[in-house]
Amino acid sequence: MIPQPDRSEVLDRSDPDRQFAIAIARAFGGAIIFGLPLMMTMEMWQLGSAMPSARLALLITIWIPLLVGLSAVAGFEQTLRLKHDALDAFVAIAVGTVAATAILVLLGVLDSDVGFHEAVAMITLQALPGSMGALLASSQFGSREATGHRDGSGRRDTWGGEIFLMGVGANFLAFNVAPTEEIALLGLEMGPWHTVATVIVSLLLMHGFVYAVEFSGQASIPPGTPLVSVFVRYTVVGYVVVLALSTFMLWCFNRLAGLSIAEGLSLVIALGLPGAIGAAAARLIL
Amino acid sequence: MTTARDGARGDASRPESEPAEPERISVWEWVSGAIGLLVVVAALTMLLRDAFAPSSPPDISVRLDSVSAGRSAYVVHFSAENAGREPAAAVTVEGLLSDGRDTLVSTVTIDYLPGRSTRRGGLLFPVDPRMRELRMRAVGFEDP
Repeated sequence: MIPQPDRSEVLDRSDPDRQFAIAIARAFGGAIIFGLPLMMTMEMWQLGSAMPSARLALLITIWIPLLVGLSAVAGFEQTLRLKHDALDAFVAIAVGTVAATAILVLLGVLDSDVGFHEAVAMITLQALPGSMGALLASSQFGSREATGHRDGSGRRDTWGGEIFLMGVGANFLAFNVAPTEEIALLGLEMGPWHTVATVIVSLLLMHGFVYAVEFSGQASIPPGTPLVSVFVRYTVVGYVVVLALSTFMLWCFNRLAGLSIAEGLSLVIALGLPGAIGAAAARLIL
Repeated sequence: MTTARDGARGDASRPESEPAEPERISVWEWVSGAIGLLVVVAALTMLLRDAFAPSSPPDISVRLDSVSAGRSAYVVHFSAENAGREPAAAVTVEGLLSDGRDTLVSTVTIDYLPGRSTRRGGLLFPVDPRMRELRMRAVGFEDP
């Protein structure tokens, strides 16, 4: 077989500046698309300064390896080395920060009345979902042929890669809901039966998506794999990851303070519903 | 390009996974990455300094900015400043207007007043506050 020269690769190698300009434009688009709903959420304006500083610092620290991992499976172009993945993660943070600052100033949220510390906390918190959007944008808007990760060549096709992507998807959708007052209210409003039903529905929805993935013929789930095996290895493990992420996020945002264990658990499970859908959908979309 | 790599693949001394030539990275990508790194380091430094500093509860003071006359009331514009590091929610600001005999009270609630920040608001009075003695203070808040 005669190898066909890849046009985008030729372009890439001939002019890295031009290629980077295109990638950065896509990244800004992604940061705004993913970040805008949160930039227009009232709770997010206050959360940065209302949540304990150490937890925001922890969230940022955890976010960076998340971005590096995301870059490795679905980032700017096909990156092979850890160094480049790390670089992409910090580029994404820069893009997220600039996009968040610009939009918050545009909307009048960030004005002269906002103190310096409040502004830094607000922008940093808003930059996180934006940076994830920035990284994803290149995989979403870019040509798949160029990145090549659909051909089953990437690290995503391992079990660990799949679970990681589920975590990213859960993180993304849950982050959009976790800061709101509504999620705090849901924890108190949901009775025990609602909670149990939500767990079952979350698992069923996740498994439904697993089937969709199976039909799309991805390498990680070969056809003919027993139902129980798929359910336990993907759906159940994925849901545990979702619940762990929900708990961490609610704790970071100080939403669990003063709640009983039962109330806290129903809060985690309520947030787990969007988390589960995000997790399951991520494996199809990313 | 592809032929060069094919040649490299045939060469037993070179591992297959290694690209034939080093990936070229735009200098602007390094610059953007450095900005991102700077943002992260600066934010973490600030947050961790905050986290390990001794607690500093809300310290709210209310300052008169200006007075204007509306159609049905006089408006006292004020700034409420929180000098503490911790935020306050539902900050109630009270204005007392007295002419020696009677006292008029107006209150307003500021939803959220973060640490080291200022929020503006207004108190309404049916009479001209410039003719009387006006005192304003924050009377209470809630932990957010």
